[in-house]
Amino acid sequence: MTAVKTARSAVVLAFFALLLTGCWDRIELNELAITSATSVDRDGEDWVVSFQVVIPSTISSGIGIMGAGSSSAPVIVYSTKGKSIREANSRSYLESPRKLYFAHNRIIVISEETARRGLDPILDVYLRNPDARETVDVLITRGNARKVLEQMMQIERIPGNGIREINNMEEKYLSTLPEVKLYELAMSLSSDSAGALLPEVYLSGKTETDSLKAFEKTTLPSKLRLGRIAVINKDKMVGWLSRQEGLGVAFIRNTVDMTMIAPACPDDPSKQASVSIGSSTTELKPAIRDGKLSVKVQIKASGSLTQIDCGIKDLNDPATVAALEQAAEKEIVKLADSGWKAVRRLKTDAVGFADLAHRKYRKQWRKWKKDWDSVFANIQVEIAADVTLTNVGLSKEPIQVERLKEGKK
Amino acid sequence: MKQKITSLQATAIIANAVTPSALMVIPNQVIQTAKQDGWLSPMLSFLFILPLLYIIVAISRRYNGKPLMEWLEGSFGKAAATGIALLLGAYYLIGSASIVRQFSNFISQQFMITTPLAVVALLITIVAVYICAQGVEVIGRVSFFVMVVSMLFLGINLFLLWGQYDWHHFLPVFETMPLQQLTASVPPVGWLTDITVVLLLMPYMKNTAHAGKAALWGAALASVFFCLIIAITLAVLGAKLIASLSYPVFTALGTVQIGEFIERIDVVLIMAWIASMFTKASVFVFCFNQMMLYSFRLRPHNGLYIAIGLFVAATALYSWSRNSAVNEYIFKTLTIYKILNNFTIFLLIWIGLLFAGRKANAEEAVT
Repeated sequence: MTAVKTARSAVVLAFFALLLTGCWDRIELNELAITSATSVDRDGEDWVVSFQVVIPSTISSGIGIMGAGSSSAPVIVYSTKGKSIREANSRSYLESPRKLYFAHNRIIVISEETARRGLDPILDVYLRNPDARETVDVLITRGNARKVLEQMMQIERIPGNGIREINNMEEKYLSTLPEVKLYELAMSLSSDSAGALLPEVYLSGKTETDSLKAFEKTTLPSKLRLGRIAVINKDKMVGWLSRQEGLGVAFIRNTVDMTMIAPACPDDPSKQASVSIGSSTTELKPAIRDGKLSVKVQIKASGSLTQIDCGIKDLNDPATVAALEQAAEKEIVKLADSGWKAVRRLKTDAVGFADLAHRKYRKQWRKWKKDWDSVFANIQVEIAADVTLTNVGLSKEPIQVERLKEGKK
Repeated sequence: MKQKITSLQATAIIANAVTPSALMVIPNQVIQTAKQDGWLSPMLSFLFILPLLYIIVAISRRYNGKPLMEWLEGSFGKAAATGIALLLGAYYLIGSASIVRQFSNFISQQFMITTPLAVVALLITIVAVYICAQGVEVIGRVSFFVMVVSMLFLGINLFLLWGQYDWHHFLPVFETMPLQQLTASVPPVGWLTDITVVLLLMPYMKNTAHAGKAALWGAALASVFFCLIIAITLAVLGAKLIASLSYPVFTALGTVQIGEFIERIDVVLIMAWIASMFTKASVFVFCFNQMMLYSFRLRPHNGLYIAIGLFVAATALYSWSRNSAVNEYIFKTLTIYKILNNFTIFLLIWIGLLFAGRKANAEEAVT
């Protein structure tokens, strides 16, 4: 009787095991083309979508960019064209023996032309389809976006992962260019401000590093680099910010985690000190003056001195430190002011003042939102900074050999 | 031996009968109207549900220990009791079918894109009917386990999402007009009215006097859960983007990314949610089965479960020709249907019991 029961249970279990195969959606790993990066270009009215697909056999072998004994590239790049992004995607079946798999897609690189023509279709594709992840990093490039995907990198075998890591590191340690995920972009553009910033990735150098032969040398003919900051208004790109302006905007937006500034020496403006900002908080205080919106930007930062080339003598002297702090404050105010002027020039509320105005003055907001662009253009901004130098490093005076030799104080 | 459940299990069943499918639509329904103040709506909804709780308590106080329909038959007569059973049967059939279809649509859109919807719907129905066939004790135990796991996973997600929260998304507070806030609280009221399942579970409760308490706790738990889910979604995505997303809760949970090794952990909560959807479907199928047994004077039989399963699956598959029609139905009609059905039928039962009680007292006084 027990044997019959066991047999019956075994049959039932075996039957239910059949249900665990994924039914019609069953797919084997070796049928997938794992995409690590995607790019979007425009060709007339058509969309050109490029895919950087990982070659698992190359990735799994050994260490280094080429793997142990492997002479083939770790990724392959190919493009498809269509009247829509998804139509272009579907045309990959005409040339790829494997189904594109986007779960490991790390970045989407959009060409400047595509961004200037509008990002709505891209946002729609990523928020509508379950196979496209809304957590990909979005970057903009000046020319052809496919070129970025073709470029190999040192250290990181998969360029898509590498670009994401660069973006991530930059945001963490420099805070100049934001790391923007696709859903964050959608959130920013759908906010009251309707503005967003995206980092630029570009190829520096003249020859492309799209062959493994280049890795036989210690220097590469070209590299992938992060550059300026693209400004998006509503869903269209409207211009660029320089890195300095980008850092200034980051200070206003309170998105600076760590960064490096180079204030002019208090005694000699032609020379610089370097201050590593370890933490920064920005308080925005909106007010209405003569019926117009004004915003007081109060930046409070702390950091440490990491280099000094000034004529200052004693870094233990509070007056010297106070002078350096003042120089750092001046530098931050200069950066923030240049950032503010740049976004105002581009008529894009990338600093989020509309959201601020909505939160503080909800009654007036109903009126302002009808013509926010003109309200934004007339906002008076006052920027102030308060820097505390918590650490001057391991040397209590600037290292100048001549002075050390003579034992001068 | 007649199966019995504890008050805690009854509370878990009630909470599970309300929350899982609401989780998919509530943030979207509420935030579309109440914007950043949406998290307040479930609190308001809880207040609106208090009269229904009063009715439940009042009915449960008059309960005499017999199976619900037999008790109602004793008070109102066979025809009226059959009428009530048919009305409730129709409600639980439509409820079961909409749960199965909503669940199938989600699985179909998110994970099993090429698998025919009918296969997914049938598999879900088989599991729901199987749980139901095991009896109310199994439903109670499974519900309690699922509730604990869901709370645990929700807690984990709350913690992991910490870096994604932007508290500015809640500002300005109280911007929504009172009328809009009232409108936004209607959908949660609709879902919360399903706490009336406690009256069908009452004959199986070890302590029937705790039915009202179980309903109160079930409603409170569900309301807190709604508040939390709406608040999390708002804090992560903000009010504007949510309006255009079909499953904003899962989108919000999908944004978790800690280093290179913790990402897309939304599947963890989805796993618990899937389990709770199965239990919810089983509770509705159980109620439908109870009503059918009484209406057509049937005895429990395996063949009946198969028939009920096929009926529910067919209703789920063929009532709506396309997914958008299901969403339209759930967003608009179902909310009104839930409120009308649960408030009206149980209010009438309560009034009927009041009259029946007075009549009996008067007859007693005469004799």
